[in-house]
Amino acid sequence: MTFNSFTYVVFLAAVTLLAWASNCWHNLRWRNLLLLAASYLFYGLFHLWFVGLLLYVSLIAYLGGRWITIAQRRGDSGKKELTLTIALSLLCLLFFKYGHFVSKSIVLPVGLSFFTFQALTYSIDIYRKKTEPEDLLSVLLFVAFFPTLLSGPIERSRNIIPQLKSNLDIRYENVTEGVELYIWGLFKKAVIADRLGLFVDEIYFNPTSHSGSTLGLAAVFYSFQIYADFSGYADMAIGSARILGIKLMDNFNFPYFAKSIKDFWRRWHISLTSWFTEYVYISLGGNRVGKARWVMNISLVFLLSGIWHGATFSFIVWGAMHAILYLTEHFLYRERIPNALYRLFVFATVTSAWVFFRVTDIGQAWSVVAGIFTNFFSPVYLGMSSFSTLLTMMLLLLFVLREWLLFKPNPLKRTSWECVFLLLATFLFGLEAHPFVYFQF
Amino acid sequence: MKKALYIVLLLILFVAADRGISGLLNIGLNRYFGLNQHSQILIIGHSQLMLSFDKEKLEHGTGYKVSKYCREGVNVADRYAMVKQYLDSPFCDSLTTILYGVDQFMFNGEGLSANSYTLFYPFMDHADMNAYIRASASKGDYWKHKLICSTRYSDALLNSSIRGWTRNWENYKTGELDTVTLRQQVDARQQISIHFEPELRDAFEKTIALAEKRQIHIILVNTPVAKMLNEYEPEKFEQVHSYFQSLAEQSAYVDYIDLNPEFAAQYDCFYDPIHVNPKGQEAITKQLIVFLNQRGHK
Repeated sequence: MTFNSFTYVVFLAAVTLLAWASNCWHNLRWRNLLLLAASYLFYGLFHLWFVGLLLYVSLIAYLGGRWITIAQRRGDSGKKELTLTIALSLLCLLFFKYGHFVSKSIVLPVGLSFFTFQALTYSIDIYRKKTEPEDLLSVLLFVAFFPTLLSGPIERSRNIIPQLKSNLDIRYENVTEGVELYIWGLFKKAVIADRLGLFVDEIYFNPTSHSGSTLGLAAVFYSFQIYADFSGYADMAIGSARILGIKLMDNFNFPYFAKSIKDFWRRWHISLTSWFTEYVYISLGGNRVGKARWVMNISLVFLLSGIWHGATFSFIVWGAMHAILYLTEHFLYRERIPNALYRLFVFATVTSAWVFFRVTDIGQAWSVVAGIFTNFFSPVYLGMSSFSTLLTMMLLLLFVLREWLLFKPNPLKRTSWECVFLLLATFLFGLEAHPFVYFQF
Repeated sequence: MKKALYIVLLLILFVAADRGISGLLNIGLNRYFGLNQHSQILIIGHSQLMLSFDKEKLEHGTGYKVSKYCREGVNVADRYAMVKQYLDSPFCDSLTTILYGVDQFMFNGEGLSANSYTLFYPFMDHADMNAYIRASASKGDYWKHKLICSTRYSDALLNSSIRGWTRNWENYKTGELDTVTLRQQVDARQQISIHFEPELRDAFEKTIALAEKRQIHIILVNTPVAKMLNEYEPEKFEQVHSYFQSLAEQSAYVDYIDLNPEFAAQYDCFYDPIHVNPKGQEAITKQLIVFLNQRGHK
């Protein structure tokens, strides 16, 4: 059951009704048990044994929090306990994420990278005294909460647990706002991402047989595909939680309108970037260190971000490319280039880097980038059905225009009337439930 | 109360827009396939036949009204449903001839989509099509498409509807067959084998029986396939060919035209091994006009 399926809509409606009913009885314990059962059911429908992993990660977070608190009450720093907690959590993630090097039969359970990082925030925040130890039910529900379970946003316990410990704010405004966000996310996924994906898959199936202009078009399409896919997922997750009266953090903020690489990283996958900033970069000293150490810290964070996505060389190259771009911009860019031109440059560089993200064979990825730059003025191939590709381009243009209207200083907000037409467009132009790109991470 | 009224208004807007869009698209589709006109000739087949005949030239050359109801990927059972759809419509009274596309691969279960019933979602308000889809689709899929009309249209159907509205029946498959690659594939035994599955043959014979019962002539048109491919499995090819010939000999209502002897070796008429390009289409249409005029169906 994924967000872009009819089954999920029925599931969400049922959970909302039950949660609303338990709200009326003011029985928070029962309501949280219900949400936990729903979350485990949601995850268990993928594979029953996945639930075991979820339980393991949650229990490590809960027990780790208790060990750290006990140690700190004893007067210790709790560092050893925190290290052990992190190690035990990451052990499971590393085994499944990189185990395929040992045996091809080891596959990564969907969402493991996300909920492991989410669970770690609880233990680390306790160590840093940013949060208090919580009861088992709250921790289990925080890690398993179904809107964030599969692909984030990677939430912080200090944001979610207090909301779970009070009456859910299920009211008309939240429900309509949540539904509108869900429909917008569904449109992004089914109409924009999945349609772009058809062309991208066709071209990248055998990239060497295509002209530079076709590869360029595929690269631009992939940039928007991954954005619409992942931000569409995030919108559906945030919308689902909002319907239940829970406010999640934003995960995207119009990244392709970013005015610099630094700005791009403030807007792209915000929950992961801020996770690395808060729990890795700051732990390494942040910017209160010498220049050389700072360069190393930044590089390390980007490399870790690449490795988090997967253990192939191309993800490392992708991370390294962003580190180089970030640092080059930091040391050389003096805002002499006109704003619009630099925005375009940022988009072009980010798009080039995405090629390494999509084409996992590093040699092939290089030849794609080389093909784009050396053979750009060449006949373009529009795919198996040029009608479909042209229709996709038209929809993409409308999408970018709508995003711009939401981004500009006085944004043109979505209305319920617009959502009716978005829903119709989804039914008319959308494709049947395709898997989300970020499920592989 | 205001909020409830607002939600009801939104729902009414959704339903009205959904039905309205679907209605407009359906008009275009019916026009494209000629399902809303009194025709003398009904062309039934898949993409091979679709690209083989120019509907407008055929109408001009014979003086007949032609409905060209060809869909990509339809199997023999689908084609039975398509014939029935037209015969059950109020436009069938003028019909005298069905041109039915045949080829050596038509009794293969593999190759054509098992989900080909999805091609007919736009026509699910038609009782027989509805029954056909209901028997083939899952319950969830059936009700989704039944209740929300906008879900019934794929890109290919949207394209057909637009072409119906703009009255555009052109063959855009320009280009020529790559004979070198085809030779390599044939030599490497990388081509589809010919099968003769009884279920598909039964569905085919049911279609012929239906036409005979309605006293409608059915012309089996063996659309050309590149010669190299015809020589891939010569014995099986001959078996299928003889089967079509025997059907024509047995019934006064059945004719068989084999376009292979004349066109199979003209590789410049092909877009790919089984589809003709506009040049092939023009030549085949001309030949069919001569055949129909000589046969004197006017």
